[in-house]
Amino acid sequence: MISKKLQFLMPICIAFMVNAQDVFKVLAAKGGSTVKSANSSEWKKTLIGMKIQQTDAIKLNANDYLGLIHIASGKTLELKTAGSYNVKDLATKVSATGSTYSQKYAEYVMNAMSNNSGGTNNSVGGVVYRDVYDVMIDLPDAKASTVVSTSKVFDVRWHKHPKITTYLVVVQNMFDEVVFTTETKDTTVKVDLTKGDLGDENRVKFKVVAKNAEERLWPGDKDVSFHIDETKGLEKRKTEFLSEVKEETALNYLIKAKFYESESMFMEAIDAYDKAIKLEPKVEEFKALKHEYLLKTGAIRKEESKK
Amino acid sequence: MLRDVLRNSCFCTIFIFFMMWIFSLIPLPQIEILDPIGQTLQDFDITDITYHDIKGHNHQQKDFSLNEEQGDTNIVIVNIGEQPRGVVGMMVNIVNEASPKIIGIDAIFRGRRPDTLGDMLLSEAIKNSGKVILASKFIYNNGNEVGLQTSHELFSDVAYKNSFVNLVTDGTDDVAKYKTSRQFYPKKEFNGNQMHFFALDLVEKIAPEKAQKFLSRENEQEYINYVGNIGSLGDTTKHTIPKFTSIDFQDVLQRNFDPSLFKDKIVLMGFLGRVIGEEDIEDIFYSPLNDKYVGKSNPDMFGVVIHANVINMLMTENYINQVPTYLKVILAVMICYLAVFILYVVFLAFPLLYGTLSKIVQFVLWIAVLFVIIGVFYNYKLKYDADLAVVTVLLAGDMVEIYHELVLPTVMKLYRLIFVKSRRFVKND
Repeated sequence: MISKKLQFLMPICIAFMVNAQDVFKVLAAKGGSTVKSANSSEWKKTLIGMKIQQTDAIKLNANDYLGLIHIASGKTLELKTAGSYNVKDLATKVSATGSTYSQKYAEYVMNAMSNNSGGTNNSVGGVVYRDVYDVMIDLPDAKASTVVSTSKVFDVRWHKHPKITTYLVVVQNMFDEVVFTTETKDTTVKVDLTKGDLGDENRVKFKVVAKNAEERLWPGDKDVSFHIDETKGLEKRKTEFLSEVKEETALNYLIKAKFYESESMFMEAIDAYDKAIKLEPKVEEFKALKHEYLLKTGAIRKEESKK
Repeated sequence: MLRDVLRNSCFCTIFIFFMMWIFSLIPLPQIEILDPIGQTLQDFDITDITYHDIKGHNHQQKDFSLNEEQGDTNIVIVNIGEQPRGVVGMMVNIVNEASPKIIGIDAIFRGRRPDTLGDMLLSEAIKNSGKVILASKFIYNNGNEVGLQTSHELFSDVAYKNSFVNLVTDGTDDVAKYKTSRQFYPKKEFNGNQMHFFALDLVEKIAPEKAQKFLSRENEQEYINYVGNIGSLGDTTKHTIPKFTSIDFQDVLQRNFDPSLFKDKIVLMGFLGRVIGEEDIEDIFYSPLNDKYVGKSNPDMFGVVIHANVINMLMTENYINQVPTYLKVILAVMICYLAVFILYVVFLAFPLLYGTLSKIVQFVLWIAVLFVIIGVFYNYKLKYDADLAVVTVLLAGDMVEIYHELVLPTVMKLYRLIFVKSRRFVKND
């Protein structure tokens, strides 16, 4: 038989258990938000998937973010403002909040009529979305980097495609007008931009496709931003620098690569990396540096791609 | 009087449909100036309002933002970022240790990489798991399907399955990919074999009865019942509806997650940006949850999150059904008749103010039709393309006036001329 003391204590225990039940679960977290339980003074870092109890407290610092799901109702909430939050209060507010379809619809109509949709206006004039290419062109992405050159004539390289015999290189300005085109069986071509009509544009699209229609499955294309330095300043700096790094060693080529990187001279930088790697093919760090540079400039995309 | 109005409303409705048919026969010249409008509206679907403004309705409180729709904690999305294959293999091992129900990797590992060890690590991880489904993709050339791209056999041979990930808008041509992704193919034939959609194969592994129930609908294309996205991570420029758990690669590698995170869950591994929260243009699509449902905008949902939405739809059996064509026509006629009746009453009662009042009535009717379309979609998952009904409501205002002022008197005159006078002529004879 349960003693009277236990009978008295049991409702309290049950109440405590109910109050200590899991109320929220963490869906997403950014920053250093922390959680503290009622029976502890220690603030613990919030982990994704963690369950938060009714008696807990949450603390957010500036720029922290916490996405939570209310376990009982499935409603989700986002905490974005720095401060301390009492989980019980949050749970009460979540439970109290509710609106019918009609209320939501009415609000939508009112917002639409008053031209305040409640959404954000983040329209952008045209999103560049590129198919991932199978012909990988060694050129940087316009979003990430600008190619600086002292000349409008330069070499463009790409990786050999196993299914293409003859390549057709097409360079277009931003109005899709062809400014340069050539054919080659090689994987490099000298592009001469003086021969086309670029006008004032300094941004072009490079395309490398299979010349034969039967082979034309996955064209490579690159949107490239370039700057031709015609002030002779860059040429002067380059000459001065090269006069100090004359020896043909791998390390010197690496130094040259870094110089070209700092001047955004992409083609020259890649050429210097390739020469360093050729001289010391067993040094993995050189390859890693080149890879890092290609990633940084957007010349190569993420490792795994679906397209 | 009421009988006359009811009868004339009926005839006016017929007149409106007759005029719509006449208009459809007239070959209108291509007016280039209207092209931008046409192109903008081409991808617009009125039910997108349901996602963005009804389901996406957030209560903004002082310190938090609340969305009332159901989240799904049975799906966990892992960002693989731009990590090399060896690291992805390590992540697969870590996730697998936590006993998930199934792992879907929304990526294609094409060819071998110079990092042989990384390739081996990933291959071993996939093999040891025994429950990894890999993505594959149909390739198109000028809109024609020319092949299927899969992972290298080092990975595809040891995976549980390879499933296609193409959405209806995905990869067919350069224009299609800019459209909103609303539908997917449950299955497709390839080389004599039937392949299933990636998300469907994931569900089939863990809940085959639900997958079979879905396939028994026998639809060539199915609408996705979107529930939400991943969290905005504090980006106040985005109106997001966080409904799925998401975790970045570094948190997986450092085991910064609750031990229960992956247990018995459907784990999707895919690209969510170089890190979660960073803008990217790879593998990201336009969804109906986009901040802008008309006009130019950025794509808003990564492909792997679209799969999460499909999985949620299949597991909760909240499919979207469509109103059949014959029913659409019947409903359009009924709505048109109702609109015409109301407008006719207004026309007869307030002839001088009809110009203004008809516009107000039409607006109210349009809002009411929208209410019904969105409400039916939201509450009953029934998609009613009410374009025809909406057009009749828009035309009804002027057509009632034309009918009453021009058509009806003309018809009455002709009737008297042909039938009444000819009868008198016959009588006199």
